[in-house]
This record gives sequence, structure tokens and C-alpha cells, in this order.
Amino acid sequence: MIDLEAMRTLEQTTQEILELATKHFKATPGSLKADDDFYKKLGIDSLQALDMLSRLEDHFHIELPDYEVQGVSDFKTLAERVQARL
Amino acid sequence: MLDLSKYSSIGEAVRDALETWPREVCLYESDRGEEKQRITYREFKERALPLAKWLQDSGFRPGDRASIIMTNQSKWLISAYAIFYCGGTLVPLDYKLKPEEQWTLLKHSGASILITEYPIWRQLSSSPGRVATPAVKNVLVTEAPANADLAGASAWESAKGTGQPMFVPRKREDLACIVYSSGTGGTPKGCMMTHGNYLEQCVALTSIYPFWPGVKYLSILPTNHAIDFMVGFFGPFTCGAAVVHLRTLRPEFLREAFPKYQITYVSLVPLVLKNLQRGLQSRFDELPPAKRRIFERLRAINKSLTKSRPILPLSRLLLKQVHAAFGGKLEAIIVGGAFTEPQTLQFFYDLGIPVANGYGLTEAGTAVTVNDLHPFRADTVGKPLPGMEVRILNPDADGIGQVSVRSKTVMAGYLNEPELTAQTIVDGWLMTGDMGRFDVAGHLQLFGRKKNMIVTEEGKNVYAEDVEQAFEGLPVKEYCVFAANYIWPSRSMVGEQLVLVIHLDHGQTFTEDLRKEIAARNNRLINYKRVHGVVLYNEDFPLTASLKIIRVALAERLGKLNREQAILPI
Repeated sequence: MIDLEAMRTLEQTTQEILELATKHFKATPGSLKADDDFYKKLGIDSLQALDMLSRLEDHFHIELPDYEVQGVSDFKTLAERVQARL
Repeated sequence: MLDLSKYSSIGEAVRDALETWPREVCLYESDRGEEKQRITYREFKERALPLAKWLQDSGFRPGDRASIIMTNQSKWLISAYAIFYCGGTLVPLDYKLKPEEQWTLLKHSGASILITEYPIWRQLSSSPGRVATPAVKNVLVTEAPANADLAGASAWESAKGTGQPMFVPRKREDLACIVYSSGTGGTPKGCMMTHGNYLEQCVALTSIYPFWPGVKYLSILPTNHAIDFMVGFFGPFTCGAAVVHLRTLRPEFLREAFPKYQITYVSLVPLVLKNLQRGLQSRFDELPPAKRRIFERLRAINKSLTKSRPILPLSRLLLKQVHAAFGGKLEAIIVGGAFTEPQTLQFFYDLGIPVANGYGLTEAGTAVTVNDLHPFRADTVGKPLPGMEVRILNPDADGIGQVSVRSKTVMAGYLNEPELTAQTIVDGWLMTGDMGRFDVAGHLQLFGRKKNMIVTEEGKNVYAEDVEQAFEGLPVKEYCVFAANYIWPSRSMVGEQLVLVIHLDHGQTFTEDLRKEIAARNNRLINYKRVHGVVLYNEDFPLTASLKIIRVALAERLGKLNREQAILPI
């Protein structure tokens, strides 16, 4: 069987994260970019960012400990952390 | 509770607590809703003493310093007790700091031992700061995967000496902890806290908010923070109570923990409290109109009946579902670390959930004032705790002046900073830098700061000077970071911001490229340390003979600008 999870590229992962964040935080579709600072762009706090992690875990079927997002504030780095666990 | 007047150190008191309540549970540890361990006072002792022996066998001597950089968990407290047992001084550091910042503070503290977690060590061990900090001789790492490369560290789980360690008594005036209230970029402010400071603070706090066997305290604030160290370790342990650790701070698991453990107390920073408020409010908003009307009626009845004091059994009956969501045993939410907006405090109190808001700072040994809830007042930070002398210096026509504190809980001084200490503790009085006044009922009200710093809603102290490093080499003539309220004094304690003041070279303009460069540097800072905007200033900064910026004079000149117009977005 082909493992679809393993076939995702970093670009695809980033795109999916952007879509998830857009939906979860009700942002304008297409307004989020990979380099965006999600705290600033979405106007969210650190707890809301942690909440987003749970959505990512469900979507990608991975476990993402809190420390993985310690100091991370842009979607691109977040995508790299997710990609490393796929 | 133990009679703390009999003890001269944290280690001595905790040692007796472990003998007094051997069968009581002292720690619960849960990860993602699943309980991983439950430790009794006897088991705590059985885990801590072999570590203490290992420390002693490794050459750790009384007065030596050992640092802990860990998330909230049982091994944090076990390690801390082992350090105190050996007569050591604990240096608790914030696990959220960047590795370079952690090394800077480790070096400053003179710690010879570091106890940390594997994910943190992975970053620390590859950071250049490690080479520059040779004083840290031994590193213990918890929860490392089997066969992981520990980069010169040892596994915490294997650090077990054989035989009985020797308990080392300490005096009340001896150093217990070095707690950094800031200073990762500028002057490190390592508050030297004595054993006496903690013993006195514990007595004062528990006289108003007591712990007893059966109490479950939910530990969320980082344990390196003075509040959690007191109410999430020393306080409950001297009373036979239990501490609940969650290995994640995700809102869904946080919410789950209240009913699961029937939490008695929790300490929160305003950010988390507001998050809870938002969650509750959206649930109230979703109620069908008829239910909503009933709920609002019950809330109004509760509000009117609890005006003079909390009546928990009544509130739990009236607003059953709300209280059930909090586990039904919650005695109070302790709010600290930063100023909380009155409307948030009132929101919870009206639901029958007492909110113990107060005021404190690490230098004063945590809390200075606290609301005793008789009656609840959302507009003040309460009355001074027993043993605290608080006075207002040079009050203006409105009675507002600098808050100063004298108490046995006030720190011994800043480590290696005699001048800063002399400026901060004057004739035995701690100059807090916060502005306030007492009302007729003896409650303290706060009105802004005198200090060039901000406190975020997460309870983080950010000194303007600590942020300046991020802009080093910026292509401008001069620059300086200020707390906006330091330039334009405000009587508000919320929404504080930092601004970057730049003086452009002759003929230089504020181009889009320069703005982008500032934004890029700003984004490299951890989110709560970022500057909010840029202020352009076209005159030379006032300098000392040694070419240091005279900040007070510069702030005074900048203060003549119009705040709204002067701050440009980045």
C-alpha cells in the first residue's frame, strides 16, 4: 500500500497548515503566507497557538509535543516541525 | 500545616513534611489526559535521596549552585528537594528562553550542575553558549530515549548514589535560590532569595489561602516562576497537599484536568484567565434563549448574595454546571504574574468562582498584597499580606506615588550587582518601580510604572534594555528601546508596549528597506519581547562621558512628542 503521509512534500504540508489555520481562525482565504508570523497575522496568543497544534495532530495523524513549537512563530518553521514527524 | 517558625531552611521543612504525611499523595502527573504517575510523600523521598547522594558523590558541596531548566513535572520538584537536601542553591531558569539566553544566565549564576529535559538539552548542547560556560560540569537529562546521544550529559534516571546522603542544614539568611527576574540581554537581575524569604512568604500566604491534606493544586505557571515555586511546591508540601502537573498546556487538556482531579486551587496568568473567560462566554452565548435567561437570573442572584463574601456552597448550587466544569471543589483561582483587568476578575467572581488577585514581584518574595475576598474587589490588588510594610513614596495630589516594600520576604539583593541592589533596596525598603495608592479601605490600587519595562499578560517581565541587542548593527546613527509608558507615563497597567527609537544619519530617510530590516530583526525575538513600533527622533541622544545613553533624559525629551503620532507601525 502507498503511504500517502510519507509522500507529502514540505510545500504540501505548508499549504495544508495554511488552509487549516485559515479555517480554524476564520482568516480570509488566501491571506496567510508561509513566512507569516502567525501570532501577529492571526492576532492569537500562545494558548491559541497550542490549540492549533491539536488540530494539526488530528489532521496529520502525528503527535506534536508542546516543546516542538517552543519559539516557533511562522508557518514555515511549523511545517518543518510537522514534516519531520510525518 | 507544619509550624514553619521552627525551621531554618526549605530543605529542613520539606524533609519533615515527607515524614509527616508519608501516605498522602504529593504529586499527580498527567499527559494528554492520561495519568502517568501518582507519587506519595514517601515515594517522593525515596526518589529524591538517591539523587541527593549522587550529587554529593559528584562533588556538589553546600552553597554550590545547581540549575533546573524543565517544564512543570515531578522531576522538577524531586530535583529541587535533592539540591536543598545537599545545602545547595537552586537556580531555576525559564525553559521557554532561547538556548543562548539560558547559557548566559547559567554562566552568570555560577551553576556547576544543570538538570534539564532531553528536548531542551538537545537545543542547549548544540548551542555555542555551552563552550563559553565551562563552570557547568555535570548535566543530568531526564526522559532521554534509549541509546540517545546525550552529548556529554548523564541520564537523570540513572543518577542514583548508594547509601544515605548527608542532610546539610542551612540558616535562614543563607541563599536558597537565585531567581532571574530578567536580564537575558542587559544586566542579569538574579534575585538572591534566602531560605528565610520563602519561609516567611509561605506563612503569610497560607494564612489567607490555606492548604491541607487533600488539596489539589494545579501547577500551570512555570515552576521557575516565583509564584509556582511557592504555591506549586513549597506551600502545598508544607501542608501535606498535592500538586497536579500536566505535561501539556493545551486548552482542551487544561479544561479536562479541573473535573478529573477536582482541583482546589490553580494559579493563572491573565492570558490564561482571559482564555478561560472567552471559552465560557462563548458557551453562554450558545445557550438557547430560555436557558440563557434562567442562567442570567441565577448569575444575578449569585452576584447579589456574594457581594460581601464568597459563599461557595451556594454558588455551586446555583450555578451547578459552571462549577461542575471546574470540578466542583475549586476554592479560588490565584491570578498573578501581571496586572489583570477588573472586568475579567469580576466575570469569574459573579459566577461564584473566587479570584485571588494580588500584586507582587520576585524581588519582594512573590506576593506583596492579595485580595482577601472580604469583600471581593476587582478594582484593587488587595491589602498587604501579614508581615508586609507597604508605603507610597512621594505621593502626588491624587495620592499616587512609588510603591515601596519592607519585609522579611524581600530578597538579599541582585547577584553580582551591588550598585543595582543599592538603587533598588534603599534603607531596607524595596523600590518596586510601580506606581500606586491606598484607598480608604486599605486596598492598594496600581497606576502604571516608573520602570523602563513592560509586563506581558503571560506574566513575563521584559526590560527594554534586554531587547536592544536584537537591533545591534542596525544601519542608523543611534537607536534605543523604551517601554512606551516610560516615555509617556500612563496610569494603565494593561496593553504595555515596547518601542524602538531611532535617530537616522544625516540625510538618511526611513525607507521601506529599513522598515523591513527592523521587522525581520524584531521577528527573530520571541513573540512577547517584540517592539510594537518605531519612533523617529532627529536629535542626538544625550550621552554620558562613557558614551552610554542617558535614558531618563532621552525619555523626557521624547515625552514631548505626541504618542499617537510618534509611534510608526513596523
